[in-house]
Amino acid sequence: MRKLSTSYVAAFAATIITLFIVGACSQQPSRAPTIEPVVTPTSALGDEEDELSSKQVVEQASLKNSTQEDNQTTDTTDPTATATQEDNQTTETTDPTATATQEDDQTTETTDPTATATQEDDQTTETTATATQLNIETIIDGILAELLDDATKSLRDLEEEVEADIALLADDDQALTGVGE
Amino acid sequence: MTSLNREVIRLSVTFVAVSFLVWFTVATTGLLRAETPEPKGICAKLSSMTSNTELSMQNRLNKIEGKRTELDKKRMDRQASKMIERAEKKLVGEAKLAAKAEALYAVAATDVQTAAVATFVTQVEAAVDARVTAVNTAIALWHNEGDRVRNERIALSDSLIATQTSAVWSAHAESEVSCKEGIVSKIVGPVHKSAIAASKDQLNADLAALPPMDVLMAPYRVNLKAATDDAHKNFTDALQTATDTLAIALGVEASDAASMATATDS
Repeated sequence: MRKLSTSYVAAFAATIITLFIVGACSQQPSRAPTIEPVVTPTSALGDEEDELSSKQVVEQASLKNSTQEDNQTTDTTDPTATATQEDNQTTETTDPTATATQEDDQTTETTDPTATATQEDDQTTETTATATQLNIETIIDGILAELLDDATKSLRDLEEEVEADIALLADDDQALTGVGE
Repeated sequence: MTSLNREVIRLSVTFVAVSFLVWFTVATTGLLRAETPEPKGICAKLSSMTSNTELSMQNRLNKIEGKRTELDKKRMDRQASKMIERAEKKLVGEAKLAAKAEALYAVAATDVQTAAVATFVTQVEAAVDARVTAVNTAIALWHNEGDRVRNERIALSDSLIATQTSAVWSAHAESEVSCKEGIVSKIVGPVHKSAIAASKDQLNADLAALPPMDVLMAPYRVNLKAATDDAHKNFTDALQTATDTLAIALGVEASDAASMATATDS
């Protein structure tokens, strides 16, 4: 009875430990998103150098992930490799520092694009202002052109009206045609 | 001599006497008639000619008056139609200005600019009103001068026609006197005909000598053009002033209304 209980407890403990290790290993991929902030802003700049840097970062991250996955695989196969995993994690905590430094560099690099963007904004503002001015001038020109055109047409109509009036006045003389016969 | 014979002789003498008396009466009447012959030619027709002339003259005046009334109505209708047409064009112009003003209000960014647009619209409307008023005044003056010249022409024409009518009546009267004086129609007729022809020729010559209406109206046409040109220039100047003010307020380059007006004229 005692032997059965001891073996039962040992089997239970081994199962618990195995489950713990498996559970611990299954949480490893959750650290991957910490790399994403490094990739995203670099690619967003649209600069060739930045794109290269981002590729490099992605490659580094891929390498780290693959190393980590290898380690995890190792971990899975060998639950006793916990210390090695901790070393890897320590190494990984060094990488974010490097990444932070890299981010600083990128921030420094993005200083120029920011200035460029500001210039572009200024240019856009100037272009918009110029377009608005042209729009206003076009509207005013349109108003003047229409008013002057109407006035000129009015003068021409008046000329025709005068001609017709004179013709009608002259027709009074036509009423006298043959009056002396 | 027997009594029978005496009776026959007495009846014969009586018959001869009566016959002689009858012959004498008839012969006397015939002689009298031969001394006052029936009028022939114009002297015989003068009475009917007078009544016909009177009727003809009245018909002529009625015909002339009818044509004048018809032409006057046509002229008045045309003038009224043109006045309505101008008023309608003014309304259309105001509507178009209002529509374009909306576009200006839309681009006005500040209250100051909005106020400047409102001022511009007011100034433009005032300029349009001033131009229309000046043009209408000039046209009214032109119409008045046209009426006056026309009435003068009608009065002069009527005077010439009346002169010719008097000449015709004089010819009739002179012919009547001549006929009464016993002058034969062969003499009276040609004189009368010549007098009538002379009166017609004189009337036609007088009418032909009247200056053409376009010549009579020429000075007023010049005045009308000067007035409308002034109105047009004042209108252009007012538009330029309004545009300059608006351009400053909106910070844009002002249009050159004068050069635009020149381009439009050409």
